[in-house]
Amino acid sequence: MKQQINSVFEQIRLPAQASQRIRARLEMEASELMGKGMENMKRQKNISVRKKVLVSVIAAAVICAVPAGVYAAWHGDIIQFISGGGRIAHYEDNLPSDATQEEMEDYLSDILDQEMAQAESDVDASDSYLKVENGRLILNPDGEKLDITDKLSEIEPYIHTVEPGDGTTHYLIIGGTIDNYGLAEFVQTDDGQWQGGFSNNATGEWYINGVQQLKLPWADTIIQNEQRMQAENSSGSER
Amino acid sequence: MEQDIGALFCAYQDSVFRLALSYTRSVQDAEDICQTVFLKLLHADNIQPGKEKAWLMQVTANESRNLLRSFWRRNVGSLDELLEDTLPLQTTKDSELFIQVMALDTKYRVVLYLYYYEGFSTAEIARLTHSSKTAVTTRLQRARDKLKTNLEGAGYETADQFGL
Repeated sequence: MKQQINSVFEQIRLPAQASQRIRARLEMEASELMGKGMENMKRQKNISVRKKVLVSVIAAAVICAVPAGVYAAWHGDIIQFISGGGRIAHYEDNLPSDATQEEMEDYLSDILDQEMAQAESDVDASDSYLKVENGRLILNPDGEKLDITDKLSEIEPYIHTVEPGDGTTHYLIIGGTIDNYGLAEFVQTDDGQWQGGFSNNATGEWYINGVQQLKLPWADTIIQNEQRMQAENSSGSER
Repeated sequence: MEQDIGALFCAYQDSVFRLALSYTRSVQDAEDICQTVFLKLLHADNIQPGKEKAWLMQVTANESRNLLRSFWRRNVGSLDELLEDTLPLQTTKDSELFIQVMALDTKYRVVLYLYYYEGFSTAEIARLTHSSKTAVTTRLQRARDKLKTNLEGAGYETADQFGL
């Protein structure tokens, strides 16, 4: 019986015309799916570029234009700094997907202006956990006073980590001299992503060495700006 | 799945079509189900390698049952229309056997196709058709008996000519 039934069903096939029609439909759908996949990849790439530009522009401006500032938040998350400052940025939502580099930088400059307006209060806040007391530099980020005077260096950074318990790790880079010290704070989430930073009078070799040790994604930008500033200062001194 | 869809369509288009046809007895409906099933395959992302055919047959059975449950479908699709679209087969004997298989109730012709042509076990057919293994075994036996009776009623010596 099996043989007879097999012989019959073997002759029953999807008609050629229908087969071609369905195949064409599948190819079209598959093509659209691949297109969407490529579009998603492209979109992800654009977002990555935007983040990099955002950090670069702000990092450069903070270092060049003002003694203190706040680097942007990423992903629209609120970042609560040890200093007490917090930031939220939804820049990605407001940028068209086909924005040019120039448009991005204009937009990011606007964000930077807004961040600068807030920077002054953060400077004061940072003073509250890093200050000179009786000729000693005291770090007090979490209720425990640390005398870090002897760790201050213009070359080697002192790096202190704080884990507030929200899954983030805050890295405090401190360096300079007792009369001219500076600090920078960078935040890393538990999945290894760097989320932004804060700086106050962070400049010099200790700062460059600090960002290199942390392997920040935008370390190169910071270092290039540092070197440019140093070169400008040198040429200014010569004049 | 989109990278393999062409090869899977070539390999299984006829199996999907035959099962859909066994359920619906309509070439047009079976073609539509075939397209629906492969489009679902294209978008599926949870099929284990090597399990594609089982997945296709399961989705085909589901789609076919859904169609049969619809009010619209209950009122169209006749055996005569099917035979107009599919016959003649290579031999008169083949055509007669096909007519008699397709004249059986849905539950019988589906198990006949899955068991004899596709080679599924009764346990696998039970899963595909949402039935018990006992029910499948019973349906197979009844399908054979009914087929034999119908063929003999049409004047054939079934044991000699159809191996029944």
